[in-house]
Amino acid sequence: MGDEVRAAKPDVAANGHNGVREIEQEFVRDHLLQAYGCFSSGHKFCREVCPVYQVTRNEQHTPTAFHANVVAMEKGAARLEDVAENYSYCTLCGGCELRCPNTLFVGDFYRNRTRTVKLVQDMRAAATKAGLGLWPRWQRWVEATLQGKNEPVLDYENIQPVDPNRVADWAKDLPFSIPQGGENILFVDCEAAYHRTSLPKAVAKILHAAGVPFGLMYEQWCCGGPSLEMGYPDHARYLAEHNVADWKKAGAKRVFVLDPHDYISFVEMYPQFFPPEELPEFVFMIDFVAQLLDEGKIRFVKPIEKTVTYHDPCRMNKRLGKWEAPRKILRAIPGLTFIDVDHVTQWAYCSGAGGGFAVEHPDLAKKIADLRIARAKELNVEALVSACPWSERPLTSSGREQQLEVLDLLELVAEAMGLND
Amino acid sequence: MATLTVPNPVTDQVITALEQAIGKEKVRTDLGARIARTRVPAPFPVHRFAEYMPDVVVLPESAEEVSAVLRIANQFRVPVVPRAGGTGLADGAVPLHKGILLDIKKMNKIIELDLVNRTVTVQPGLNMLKLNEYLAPYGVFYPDDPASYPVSIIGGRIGTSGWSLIGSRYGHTRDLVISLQVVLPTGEIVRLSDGGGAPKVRKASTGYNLKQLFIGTQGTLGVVTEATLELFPKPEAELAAFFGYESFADAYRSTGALSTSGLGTLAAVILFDERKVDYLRRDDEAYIPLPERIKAVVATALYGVEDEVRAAANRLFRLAKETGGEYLGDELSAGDWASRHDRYATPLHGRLPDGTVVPMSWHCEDAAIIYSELPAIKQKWHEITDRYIQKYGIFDNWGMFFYSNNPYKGWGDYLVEIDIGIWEQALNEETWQAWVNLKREITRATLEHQGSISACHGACREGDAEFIPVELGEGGFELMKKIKRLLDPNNILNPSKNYLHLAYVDEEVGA
Amino acid sequence: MKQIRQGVVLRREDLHVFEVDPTLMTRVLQDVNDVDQARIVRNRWEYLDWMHRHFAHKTILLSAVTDAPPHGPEPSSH
Repeated sequence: MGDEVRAAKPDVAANGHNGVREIEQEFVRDHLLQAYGCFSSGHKFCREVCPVYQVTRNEQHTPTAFHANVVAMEKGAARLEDVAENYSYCTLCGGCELRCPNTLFVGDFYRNRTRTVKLVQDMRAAATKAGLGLWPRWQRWVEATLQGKNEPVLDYENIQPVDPNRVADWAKDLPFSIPQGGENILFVDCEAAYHRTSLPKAVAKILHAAGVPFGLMYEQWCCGGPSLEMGYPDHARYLAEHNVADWKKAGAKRVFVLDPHDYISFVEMYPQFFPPEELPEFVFMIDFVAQLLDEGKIRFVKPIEKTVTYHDPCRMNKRLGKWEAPRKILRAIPGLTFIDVDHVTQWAYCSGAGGGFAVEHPDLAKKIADLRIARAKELNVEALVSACPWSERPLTSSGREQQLEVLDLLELVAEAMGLND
Repeated sequence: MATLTVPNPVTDQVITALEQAIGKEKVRTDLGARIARTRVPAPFPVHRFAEYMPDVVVLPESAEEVSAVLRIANQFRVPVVPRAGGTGLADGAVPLHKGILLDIKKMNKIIELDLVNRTVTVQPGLNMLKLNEYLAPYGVFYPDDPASYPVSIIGGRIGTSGWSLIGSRYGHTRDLVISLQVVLPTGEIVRLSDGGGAPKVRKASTGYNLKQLFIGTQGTLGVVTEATLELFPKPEAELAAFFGYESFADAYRSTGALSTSGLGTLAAVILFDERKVDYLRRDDEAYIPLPERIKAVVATALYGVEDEVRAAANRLFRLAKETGGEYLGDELSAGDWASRHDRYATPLHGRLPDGTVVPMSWHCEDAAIIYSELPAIKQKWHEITDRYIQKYGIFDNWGMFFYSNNPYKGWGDYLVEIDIGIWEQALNEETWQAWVNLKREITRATLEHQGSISACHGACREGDAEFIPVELGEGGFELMKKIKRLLDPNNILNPSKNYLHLAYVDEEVGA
Repeated sequence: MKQIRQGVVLRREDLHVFEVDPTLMTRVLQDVNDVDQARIVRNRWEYLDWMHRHFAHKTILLSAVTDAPPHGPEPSSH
């Protein structure tokens, strides 16, 4: 596998009219039964939890519309190119598919559930494959990701590739050095490696202080998740194959993951590409910190006199059902007053950053972040703590406008452990 | 006069006028916008999908913008179909003649919270669950609780005159709306309240009670753009108790005893028949383990201050026991009550005659029927439904519920529901017509037993609508037609709903 | 896998979650894995608790204020 893989250039002529029809038929065939599961229900309980709908109030940007379109295509009332654009209005947060009665109330009984995230990803892939050229910013983003091996997070505006040789620069001024390779690998997400470098530093300090040996990859590439989310599954796989090979070379048995988006790529997407024996164990850092705390391997020594609330990262709370560890950590920090908003209420919350939404629809993404900050402000807290670096950029920006501080949970942990003194 | 019954098409000229009036970004002609507003959850002739797609969707944000749209519709004589949450079960929001679809969801602001006078004034696009999340810190509550509570919106509740699961304690939508702002079909904006003009006064005799006229019109007489609503203290305590019975007859008698108990905190009495219990035993974890001897169920719920609820619970339990009820346990009672919005219709509950699972759409019949007629209607509806299942094989009988329907009290009449699954993927014109005939037979039975066709969904669908003149009688329907013609001279607002196309046919004949 | 009643089986004793008899699922795909299934069950209970809290400050159980038994009738033996 070499560098020749590039994001497919939109080329309607190459695909031709018949190409689109074949792609449409395949898409309808794959999703029709699930689409009827939604279309014939019509409950729409997904709608008021959907972060995009909450800011557009437009019924066509809802999971029920995404499913109705499939039925309309089957009945010849629409073509793929008539409806594909709507599928960019989604952060892939997963709130809808969890809240759907088909999942929440009978998904366990029938072992069949609503899968809107997959539907949206597959439509984005179908539209891209059909060369519809609907989302130029996603195309540039994926191209830049392949060039820089990591996402172009330093320049959202012009989408310029990052320098892949600087992926571990964040570790340069740590008071200890981190080896390459080893059984325990710390995977540092693109946003954290290039933009929010305070986060990987904090994580490295926590692991170091807990006496957990760990190394970095020889050459860390993007996990590939965003490429899948933006409609480029082949490119996602290309990136994933590199990472799996790098872990193999390192002898990795366990990969520490500090970002929810990476984590869900590793536990949901990678198993589709690789057999289980080729994959290491993936450990989400928040879970690991909670475990270290339980085992007495880390201690909070420095009080943090602040009143805070917590933002559940969508992928952890809504798609994986992980919400307890961060609350446990926050309750253990001395001096901290933690005002919780329960995780069920937060099925309707989002930062707007996920699923490429902020890249393609920055104005609406900002509205979602503004709404999330406004909800935190109502609690009269001094700060909103998140556990997802992707959420922290828009939330910090909205927080600045509304005078609310936004903190990262793992950075807060390092602070409470006295590691910044 | 033909323009009255055959609507004009939406031309580019109409689109341009709409864009100029409310802004280009609020006028959408793309297929995605139109497909999303084609159906509601009621059974849908999916084989004729394209017939129900509106031509253009407008997304107004104020009464003035709604008014502008209606004026344009009058100018060009094109239909306007108002759509709120689109969760109605009787096609009120389905475009029958294409035209302009007016979607009010963008109008979701809370305008004023008045804690002193216990009112909240809102735009119609707001959802009740969201409203109650907003109200919670103030200790007040808006108790309109349909099965669609997590998603339906206030405008649709008013448009259909909705029914609330806890209405026997708190009243239904029409009892909870203090006053309304309505845009009339010709574009005038009016404020209407209970027999007067004061927006926060609940009871007045100054003028006609015009407020109620505009509740439950299915968008045929006006578009609600603002509502002032009643606030209750958030209940201190909730208690749900479900009882099992060895026969439907026992459960029916017990329902009568419980609903006439006079308990002020009693919010709901719900009777489940044998077929409903069998249906729930198919896939509902709470009902699967119930012993066979339990043939029918009565569900009850109490809300209020804690002391009252505790005292009422004792009386309720005693009454249920005395009338043959066996308590079904805390987990089933609390869990099933909390599931009340989600539980009773999921597509995979559908079964073909060979028992295999297919996703089915849900028909929810909602006649209002007096207590004495319940056993007879049960027998008739099941007989009708089973006959069609046997013949066509794409329907499924999901049993019956009988819900206390009377606001602020449990006795008298019941919302009678038979739930029928329809395998939409297999629909064709023949089976669709069979479905409509099934509906007609059910409706006829309702009328034979002194019932009303609809307690809360409305009677907009084929199989219901053509019986409105029968139910209302000649004088009553004549009056409805006169009112419709008076307010909507050009027949632009949700034309043909409630069989009101007849209002204009008469005029043509007369002319 | 234990047959609980017609059309219902118990595959996972650990979670005690009923499932449709898989022989009835010839037209619909069964692709929810065990981890996801457990997540759904748990989320459902959390959601129901949320709904109780949303409607009232306190949920009172009949067995707590009367001499009603907390558990329902014993399941029928199939």
